[in-house]
Amino acid sequence: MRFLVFLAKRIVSIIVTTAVIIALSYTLMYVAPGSFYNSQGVGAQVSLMATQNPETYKKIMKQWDERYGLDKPLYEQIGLYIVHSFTLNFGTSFENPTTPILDTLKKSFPVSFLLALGSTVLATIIGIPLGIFAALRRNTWIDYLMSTVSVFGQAIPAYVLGVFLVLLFGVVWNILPINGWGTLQQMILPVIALAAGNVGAITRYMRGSLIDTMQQDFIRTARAKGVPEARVVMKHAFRNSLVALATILGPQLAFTIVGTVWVEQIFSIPGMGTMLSTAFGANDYPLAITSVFILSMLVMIMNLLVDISYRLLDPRVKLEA
Amino acid sequence: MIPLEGAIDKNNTYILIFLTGGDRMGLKDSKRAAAVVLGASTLIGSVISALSASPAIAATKNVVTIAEPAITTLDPNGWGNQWALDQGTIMEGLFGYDKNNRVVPKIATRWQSSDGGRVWTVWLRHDVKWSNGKPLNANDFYQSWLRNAKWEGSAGSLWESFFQFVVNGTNYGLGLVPASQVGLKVVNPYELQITLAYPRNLPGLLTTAPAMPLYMPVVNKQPTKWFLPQYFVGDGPYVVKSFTPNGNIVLQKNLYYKGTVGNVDEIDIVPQSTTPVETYMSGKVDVTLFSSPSDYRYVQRNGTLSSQLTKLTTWNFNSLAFTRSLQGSALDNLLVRKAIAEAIDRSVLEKVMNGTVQASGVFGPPGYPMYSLQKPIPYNVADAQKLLAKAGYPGGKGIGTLTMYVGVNDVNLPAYEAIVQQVKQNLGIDLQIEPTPLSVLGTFQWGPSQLNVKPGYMPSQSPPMWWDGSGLVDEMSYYSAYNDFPLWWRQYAAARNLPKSNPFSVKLYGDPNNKNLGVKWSDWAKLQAAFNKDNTYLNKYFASIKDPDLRYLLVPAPSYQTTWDEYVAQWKSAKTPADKHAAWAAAWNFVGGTGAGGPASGGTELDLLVWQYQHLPADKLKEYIDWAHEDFAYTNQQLISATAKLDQDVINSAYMVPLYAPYALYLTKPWVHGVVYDQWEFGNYFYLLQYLNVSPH
Repeated sequence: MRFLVFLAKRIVSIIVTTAVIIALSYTLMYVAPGSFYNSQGVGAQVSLMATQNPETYKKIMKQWDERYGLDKPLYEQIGLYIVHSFTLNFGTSFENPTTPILDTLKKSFPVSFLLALGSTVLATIIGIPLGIFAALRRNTWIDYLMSTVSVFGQAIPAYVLGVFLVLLFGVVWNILPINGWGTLQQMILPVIALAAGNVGAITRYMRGSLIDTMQQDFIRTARAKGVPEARVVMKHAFRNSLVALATILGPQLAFTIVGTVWVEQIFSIPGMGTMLSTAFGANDYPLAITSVFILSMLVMIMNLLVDISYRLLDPRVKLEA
Repeated sequence: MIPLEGAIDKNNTYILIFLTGGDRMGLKDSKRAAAVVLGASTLIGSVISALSASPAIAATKNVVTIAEPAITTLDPNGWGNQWALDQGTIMEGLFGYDKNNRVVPKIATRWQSSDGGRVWTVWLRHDVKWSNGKPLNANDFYQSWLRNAKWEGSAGSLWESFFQFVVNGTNYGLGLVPASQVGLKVVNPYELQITLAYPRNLPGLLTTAPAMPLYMPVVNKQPTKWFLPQYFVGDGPYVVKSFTPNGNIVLQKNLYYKGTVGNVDEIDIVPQSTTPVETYMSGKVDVTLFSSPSDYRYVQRNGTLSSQLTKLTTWNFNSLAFTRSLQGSALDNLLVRKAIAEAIDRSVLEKVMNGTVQASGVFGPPGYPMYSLQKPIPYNVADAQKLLAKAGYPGGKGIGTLTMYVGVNDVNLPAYEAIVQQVKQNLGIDLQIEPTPLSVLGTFQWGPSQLNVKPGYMPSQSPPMWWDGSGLVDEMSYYSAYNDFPLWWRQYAAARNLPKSNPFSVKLYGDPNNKNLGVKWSDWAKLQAAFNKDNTYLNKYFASIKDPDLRYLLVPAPSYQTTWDEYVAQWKSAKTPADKHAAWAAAWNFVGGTGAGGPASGGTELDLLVWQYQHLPADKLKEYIDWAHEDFAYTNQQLISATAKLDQDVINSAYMVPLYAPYALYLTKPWVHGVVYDQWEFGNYFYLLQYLNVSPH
């Protein structure tokens, strides 16, 4: 029951927060200079109509505004975008008024999600053992090596690493595909490019968390009872250390989805990157608000899952709103 | 041994790498750690080798892979990269282009114009079929065009379509008239008659994506999905076999297509990468565009790549444009503007852009039909300095700092930096580059005058209008209409257009935002008087215009009287006070100004129009006439001559400074032939894929 109350409150909180984010984002776009028509140079195309038949031109603009709700007061426009977002009625973009955004999203979101998930999983698989090694060999050359590798991983942007991988595996060795999406081979390089930064973060978190845990009383007790060291590490310390790691994994996944934009463009992947990169620059409100909605929901849902996972990882944790 | 295990299924579809047996980990010494790293590398290496060892598919058909900008939809009723495929590859219209980008008939067999280029009759071929084998006729065009004009009750995308020029085309899109009143007539299944509101070069207009025919039985059933492979029926040389939004698209030959088509059986379209040259080198694409100067340098140095490079002059011309600032500055002086235009050595710009651009002192590169008809701006520092001194600013003293707005991540930045340096060096004028987000820069370029825009320049790209491909109308018309008005004009217009409601009109006719006004008929009295006065003046002015094209441009259709009567009728039939107010407010805007912001030229409200025509400077009137001649020309020769004159007007006013045309740079495998780059479009892509051919390789 307590869990259900917790869940209900969190869901309400997610809805309210997302609504506020949509309202803020829309207001900022609304007050910023520029419009879709201007950013696309439409003025040049309609200059004749606007000069020769201004009343008809005004009617067209009015119809356009009505179609997208732009004729309504700001608060109503915001309200509409919030309601439409939560009902997944994203409408059509300004750029392609005949193609529902949802249709595009159905294809592109799973791609970006899988790419981000794959890289987070890969980063976890690599980062956890590296973190454990570093923690257990604290202040030795292994630790320094791992820390250095972690810093490098975090410091090199995915789009730089991506280009490097393209050169190495696509041009020099030519053993892996460097564009497209759909086969396992095509996934390898983009997943690695995105994972590198996460490996660094996970390694450092794992190391720090395990070092803290290894200094706890229950570890001392286990050792005193003669439990073998490997068992102490893996059964007692490792599981307890995962709580801290879980804190970053969820948001890491969500933010990695945002980070897929560059990698998708390098590897020609049909994810959400194109949508994200063009929506704001072109003042395409429906497309931009859809992006905001998806990303903010993702971050908050991931945070919720992380909180729930605390309970699974550590029975002492009580989930209370 | 290392605690890593991996598994690859027999289809190489899944790979599992997992950590096992933590209990087995001794972790006694560093050698183990090193072993782990080594082992993991070995495993990953073998996985990659295993995966990449998949057997090559035997090439039994001719396949070409082309990198194109990401395509979200194939519906031609949109403003995106789908035009690359819609115009002549998966759809074919009455007219299209040959491989040299010249307008040629496709489904049309012959055509003729009458009534001075207003009425066009087009006869269709009898042997054209859809990809499902059914015959295509004039009615297919008729239905498709009506659909595109009013998709989902919105005429919002009409601006990108030729349909805006058809009699009542826009009104049909707005739902104001039935289809029967549109200037379209199916004379018989193989004869179409199109009546335009004014003369226009129709064949060029009909090459564009919104003029393509759609297979309406499927479009009606699947309005948003008809282009997906499971539904697609087209009349172009290729059909859609697979489609991923912003991803790969596979095209295969349309077996029912009768026309020129190469020997390529399948065309794979892949989204362009941000590393195009590397992708090309890896063999993953056969044809790719690239634009970065550093890529160009690399390609030039690589013997193999340089032999596969095509460097094509484009007509997508780059210029500097005055910012239309409402603040006074030295740039309001023609001599200063001319001095700056003469102080730029365009050959330096070619160098700093690593040879990726072709400099020109006129609008358009060598080879552009109007190139030799314009008088170029010379590079003459001594003369520029004299002009500056004559303007009262010797050595640039007293001008202050001017602003150069440049889009964020603009690849032309090195050229703009070189201009800043040259203007400083040659004239002593400070130009300061201000990086600007593209959405904001778009507003400066295409939107109404902005209060906060500083005096200076902004980049401008002015490709020829693609729909007038045969006619080469270019965007100088936009600049003539909106850009180069003197400061006193801009300030007068801005004072009336930038506030929410024209404050001068509010004083005269009352506040249109006051819901209580316009409800009584007596509220119309002042407006009615103003309208009568304006209408009388404007009609007299129009009657004095002798040039027929200028009359087309300026005389409204419907007449001002008709529009006014509509507002009055709306008021009279209104049932509620709110509706009465709305009708009055619309009439108020018609006469007094919307206050929604307007171009530098002013607004379209009658009060301001009267002022504009009373004060139109002689050089602007000439530009208006040249602009009208360009817009309403309907033969190539007329268009070339009119466009050149308009270009020269803009050069003379020096509100725009021509700089250079970027080259289209692309790599093509030696066995691929017939690649056509779209010189017309804003989009930077290949089109007309029907001309692709491959030789044995």
